[in-house]
Amino acid sequence: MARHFLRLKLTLLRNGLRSNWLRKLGIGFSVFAWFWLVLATLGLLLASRSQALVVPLVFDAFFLGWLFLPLLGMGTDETLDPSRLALLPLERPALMRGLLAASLVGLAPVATLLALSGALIRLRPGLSGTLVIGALLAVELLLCVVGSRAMTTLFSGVLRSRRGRDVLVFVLAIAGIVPALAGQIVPRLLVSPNHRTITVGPAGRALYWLPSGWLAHAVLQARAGHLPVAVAELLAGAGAVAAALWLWGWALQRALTTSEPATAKQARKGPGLFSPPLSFLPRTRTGAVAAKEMRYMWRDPRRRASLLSVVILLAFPVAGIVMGRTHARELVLLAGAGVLILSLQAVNQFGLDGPAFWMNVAAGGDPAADLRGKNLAIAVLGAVLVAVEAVVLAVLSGGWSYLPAAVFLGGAAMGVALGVANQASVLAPYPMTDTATNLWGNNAGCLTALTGLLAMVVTGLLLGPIVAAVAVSLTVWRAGLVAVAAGGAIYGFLLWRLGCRLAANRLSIRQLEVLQAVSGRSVP
Amino acid sequence: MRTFENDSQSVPRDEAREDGWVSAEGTIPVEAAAGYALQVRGLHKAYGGKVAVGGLDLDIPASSFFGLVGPNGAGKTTTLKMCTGLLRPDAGAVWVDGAEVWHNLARTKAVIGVLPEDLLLFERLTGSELLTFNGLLRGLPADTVADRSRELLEVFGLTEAAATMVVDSTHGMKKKIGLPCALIQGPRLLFLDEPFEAVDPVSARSIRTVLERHIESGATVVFSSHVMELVERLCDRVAIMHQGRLVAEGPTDDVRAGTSLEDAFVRLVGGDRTSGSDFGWLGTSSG
Repeated sequence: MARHFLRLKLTLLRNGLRSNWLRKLGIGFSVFAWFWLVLATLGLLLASRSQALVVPLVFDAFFLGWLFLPLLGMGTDETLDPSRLALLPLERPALMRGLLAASLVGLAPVATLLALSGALIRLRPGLSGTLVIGALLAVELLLCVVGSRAMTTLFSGVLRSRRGRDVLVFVLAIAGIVPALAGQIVPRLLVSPNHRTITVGPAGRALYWLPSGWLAHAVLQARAGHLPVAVAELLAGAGAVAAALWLWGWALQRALTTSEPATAKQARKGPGLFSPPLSFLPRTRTGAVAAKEMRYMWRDPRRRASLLSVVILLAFPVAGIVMGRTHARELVLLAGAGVLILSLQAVNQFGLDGPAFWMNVAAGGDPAADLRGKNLAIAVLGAVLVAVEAVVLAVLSGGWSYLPAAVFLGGAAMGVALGVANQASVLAPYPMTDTATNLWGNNAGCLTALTGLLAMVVTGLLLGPIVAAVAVSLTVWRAGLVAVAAGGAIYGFLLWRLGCRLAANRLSIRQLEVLQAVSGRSVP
Repeated sequence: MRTFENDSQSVPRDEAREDGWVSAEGTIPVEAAAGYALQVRGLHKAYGGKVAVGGLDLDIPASSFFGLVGPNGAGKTTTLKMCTGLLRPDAGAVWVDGAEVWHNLARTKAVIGVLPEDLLLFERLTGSELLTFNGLLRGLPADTVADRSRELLEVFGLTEAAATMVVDSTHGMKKKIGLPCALIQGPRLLFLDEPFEAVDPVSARSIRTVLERHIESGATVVFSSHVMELVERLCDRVAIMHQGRLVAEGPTDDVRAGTSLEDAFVRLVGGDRTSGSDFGWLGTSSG
């Protein structure tokens, strides 16, 4: 049976290489990423002088990565989902043997083994030591693979439910912020503040608590010649693998015999597009699009995450004042930063609609109203963000006199960025994947990044005159700051009008092309 | 009834000109013959090298219940998309309610309702919100949208589902929500792609009743389906598509020619593929 699963996995890998260029690009990127990860890990394991910290860190990082990352990519490997195997007439042990064999083939297990082999190359502990470390590496790989299988099987039901996937998409979307925070916090926790050598800090000892940490400890013991201790820890690691196997078997049995969970239907109170707090919007096409957009900002996990990232970024100047790093009252002028980012996120407004944009196309009428509606939703939210941020910063810094200028500048930033974003949305729309089998936000690769970057550069250039005028005003003519900012707001409004009109004209001609572009493969 | 052998039904441009469909200047007439809800001439669409629809001609009289049937990949969905202004054809012309679609997109969209097969809706709205959204997109006054929404949700048994997000609805329920969206502006011509797919019998009966009433009011319904019994029962005219071309078109009774529509369909699109095998191994559970 293992042979059949191996063949299935190899066929899936081969088919992946035969698919479209976007998929090939993704595979190329994965190979590249794994290559660098292997090199970096090998470098760390071979060159670092603080092995007591690095070995458990690497072992734990791989173990935790194997446990949690496959949950995010549930749809990328068809052999991961036990529901696909429910109808096969297989006994559980045979199924597990087959799945385990399939799991050990592929880029990830090979790269993991290569990366961890750095622990074997470093120092030469003699033949018996080498054998023990080799066995430790094999057990670590098994621990990673079996642990990963247990986790994906355990959570397969939740991951197939809409609510579970929403949470996951949200986590994935804000995951970009985590490495930056972790880079600041983790080293302080793990390492003792010793200027001469790096030693394991109090929290660093927690690295040894995980089964992978035991194996890492065993590697260090084997190198030091304490083979009995290493072998005892090896056996403990093997016990952990056995426990993970049991858990996997139990979860597999449950997953194969339990029906798929239906997402609990959540009835909305007072159903209606314009229910409070959106009752102020006009009952027109523009108002309807704005109301839909604003409901999506909360209900769509990707948009909720984007909104959260804006709010987090807004917290930085506030934190600067609270932590006493700065008391500059001019910080109030930065209140428009959030709305600038919010507007820059709108470079693919129709891509967010996806294939459902056909409803707007089929309705006929004025496509400019769709753009205005989308812009209105951002403007309403942006106005709230600017007002709240400006007041908070004014309260903290005492810079109340800058409040009117800050509000005008927020409007200017929003106008310019939205004008550019409207153009980008019509000129370079791209699909955002939101299917039942793929969580990754969008996979248009370079085009996505390029559009965003280009829009950012153009917005920056167009905002240049305002920034320059404000800088000059702050230096030589503070009294005129409000007038300068108001002028900036008018400039922003005019650029928005221009961007909106040009985009609407183009949209009325290219509506079908935009629909095709944002629908991905949904339109034949 | 018209039946078409091989590819003889494709209309070359010269022939079309003699037929009066292309003016002396070589342009497509903006106005077409009266009495037809939909007319199609020489409609063609290819994806890469593969022809999805190859020179289609079709006349659908006003106030008819028209069934478009064909095997998977016959080109039905592509045809309906081109007729509704959702997909630009490579060649050919379509007249809806007398006006050429691609020269009068706004006018065309104002008189048609569409229920696509893939049914990709704004799924994070509730059924009721989606209906309001769609009504306002079509420029209807808010009061009219509210009244019609209430009536449609009630008739289709969606009052309860109206408060649930579409993403949490079953496929059948999504079809049921899509239909009021297509009907809300009271279209003169309704295009429905597989409207009864995954819909329960009680709801299917409600849908049939509403559609029949729609026809009685002078409107036209064009729908595609794989369920031959349904097409046979509902449609007064039917067209059978195969490999992007029409193989038969006309009044349903003429097309089925004394047999069932299914028999006629199987005969016209290539016969019974199971005749060469006896499948003796079926039911033996042998490895």
